[in-house]
Amino acid sequence: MKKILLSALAVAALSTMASATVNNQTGCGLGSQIIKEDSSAVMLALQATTNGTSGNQTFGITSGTSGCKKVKFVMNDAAQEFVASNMDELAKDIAMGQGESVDTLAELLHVEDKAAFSAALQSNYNDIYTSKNVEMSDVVENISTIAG
Amino acid sequence: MTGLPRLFLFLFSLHVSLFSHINNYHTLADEKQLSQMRYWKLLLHVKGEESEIDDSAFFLSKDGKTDVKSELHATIDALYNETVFDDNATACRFPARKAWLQKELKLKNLPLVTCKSYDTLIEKINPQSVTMVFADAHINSPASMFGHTFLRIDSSHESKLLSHAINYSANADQKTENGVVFAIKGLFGGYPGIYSLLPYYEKLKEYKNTEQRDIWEYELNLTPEEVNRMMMHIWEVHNTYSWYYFFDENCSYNMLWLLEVARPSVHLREHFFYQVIPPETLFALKQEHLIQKERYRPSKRSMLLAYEDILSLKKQNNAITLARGNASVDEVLDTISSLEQKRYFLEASAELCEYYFIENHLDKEKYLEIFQSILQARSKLGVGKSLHAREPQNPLNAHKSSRLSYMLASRNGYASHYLGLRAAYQDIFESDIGMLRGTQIEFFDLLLSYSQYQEEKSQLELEKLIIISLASYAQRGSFFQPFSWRMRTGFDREYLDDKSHFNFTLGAGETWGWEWGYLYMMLDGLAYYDDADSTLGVSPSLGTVLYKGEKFKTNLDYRYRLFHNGQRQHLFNASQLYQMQQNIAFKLGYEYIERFGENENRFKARIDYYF
Repeated sequence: MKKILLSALAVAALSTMASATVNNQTGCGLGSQIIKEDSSAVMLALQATTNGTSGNQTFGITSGTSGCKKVKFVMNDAAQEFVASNMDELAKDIAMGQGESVDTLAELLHVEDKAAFSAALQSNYNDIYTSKNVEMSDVVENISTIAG
Repeated sequence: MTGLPRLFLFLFSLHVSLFSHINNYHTLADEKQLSQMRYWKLLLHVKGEESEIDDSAFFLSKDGKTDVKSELHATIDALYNETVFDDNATACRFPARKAWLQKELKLKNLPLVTCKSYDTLIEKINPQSVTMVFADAHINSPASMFGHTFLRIDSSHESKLLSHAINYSANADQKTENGVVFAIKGLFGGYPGIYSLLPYYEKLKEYKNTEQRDIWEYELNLTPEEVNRMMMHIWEVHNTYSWYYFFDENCSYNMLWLLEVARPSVHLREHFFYQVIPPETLFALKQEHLIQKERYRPSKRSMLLAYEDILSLKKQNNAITLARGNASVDEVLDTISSLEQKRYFLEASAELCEYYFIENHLDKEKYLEIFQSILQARSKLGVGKSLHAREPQNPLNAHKSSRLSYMLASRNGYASHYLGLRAAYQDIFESDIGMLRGTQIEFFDLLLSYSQYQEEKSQLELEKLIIISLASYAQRGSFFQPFSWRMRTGFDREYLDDKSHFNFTLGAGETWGWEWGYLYMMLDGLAYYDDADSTLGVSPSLGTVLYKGEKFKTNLDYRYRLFHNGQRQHLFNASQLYQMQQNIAFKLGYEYIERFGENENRFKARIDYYF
């Protein structure tokens, strides 16, 4: 009896590792975070994570922008992929006028003066993130117009 | 001779010459004992007598898993006898093997192949250097408490967001598996472990934002040549699988193979004896002089806590109201006069709004609306001083996980000696430098006592054997209001009758914290098992942990227990820690346990050594 109980407990404790519940929401617009699924766990406190366990992750070298509206002019893929995947982070950094994601975009667009770049983007926030439903291609085009 | 037989003869002699060519290489390889060399064994993931890789596709010889020599011969054969010349060619599937054999044996006239997939990958990743990334624990998640490690391949870009992450994990579909099945399979190798490669920003989303775990980056001093070797080897193993074992052949362990292939002179795996606990791989990297730079990235949670520190309670509450969409930006912003506070307030609100979205407390439409309105307002306020979360102690400064203890105690005036051994990892009475405050995770904690009572003869007793003990004393604030909880099971001598009993405890409560310490209130349910029957009980408790600098920590804990048979019991525990060195701690303590007979008063002095 003890033995069974012991094993049951050990398993119960470790099984909290199991329900790695995240789904990938990455699309072309804002809301690109990974959302935690509603957990029907008995205890909220025992909510699990994806520690070292996750399905559907690939050895991905495919483009993350395949489902998105194309940017009108020639534009490097890396910049498009980055913007598509970081719409929210970028919006936040542009609104604050500084941050790692704006610097990264500047680097991808070969912009020399990063401070001037982020200042220009900040003061034109409304012309870049024109609405809450704005998509990557719009943002990229708007930024190019402003920084151009 | 007519044309056709002549052609046959030509082909035959070509075959013979190729064949003898290959045979010569076999002989040369045997003379040089290449198959016994460390690097070849590293490439095959051979530990002891056989490879840890379980996928037969990884081996070109049918005995490849156990016979390194036959695998080496088979590799030479396959390189010369390519039947396809694209991505599926042996040379494309095993670039590291090919490069090494080519160097060691000076292989000539190898067939020409085009490795489009591999070349595209290398062009895209542009590998220059490597960073070990450690995702710390999350306070409320027992599964995350050991942390997680993965490798980051850095490009020549200045921005590290453009790096790629190589991750090793068990490939389990959580949608179809329930937790219990997962745990059993995860422990005993029921899932294939696989490698994945993703942009680093995707991993940050996962760990830093969604799971709210702090990130530590350890830049390694690998040379571009070593990095190149690692990439070639990653390519060889990326499509193969090995069974995933939670304790040893886990995420961290497999990263060590990759690093050893990159730099064969380091022996990282030998730092471990059985279990590979992610933070301990960091110690091994440090001892092998691989780390050259460290960087902390606060989780979304840590950033929000930093904002909580600089905003008044009223502003914190307003941020919550705004982030939930219960007020408009103008309504709340007008109440703030300082420009700097306005900026911080809006930034905190945006973070919080994102957090609610991630936690599924806001639907997407609502989130987009609120998030956009906050950012529009923020963009009009210029550039402020960016807020930095206070950097916690580096996990490299934490104590190691296994513990050996000696304790001397006076038990109601009689001397007793204790010897303790714990497999892993941390309790709240210990130093939490480099670890997450308020978390506890213990496996197999054994304590034996040897006492000399005057009236009786000497006695060796089992004082404690904790099989597993988990706890999360999660501090409550404005933005986060987590529960605290704990569970523990094993044998102890804390019951009224002074004997060791098997017991189980599970409880929940609340914790409030400040910089100098925290206070917890818990309510536990517990059960003591005897040979014949069991005793159930409830136990309210109150405790505090106080910090004084980095080396001193005080713990006070009071428990009251009420059992279903009407028995009651008071227990009190006080301990003072002095962390002498990273892996040596000294403790003084007092313990009171109410008993059927004489109540027990123990004064204790204890020394812990971590290894």
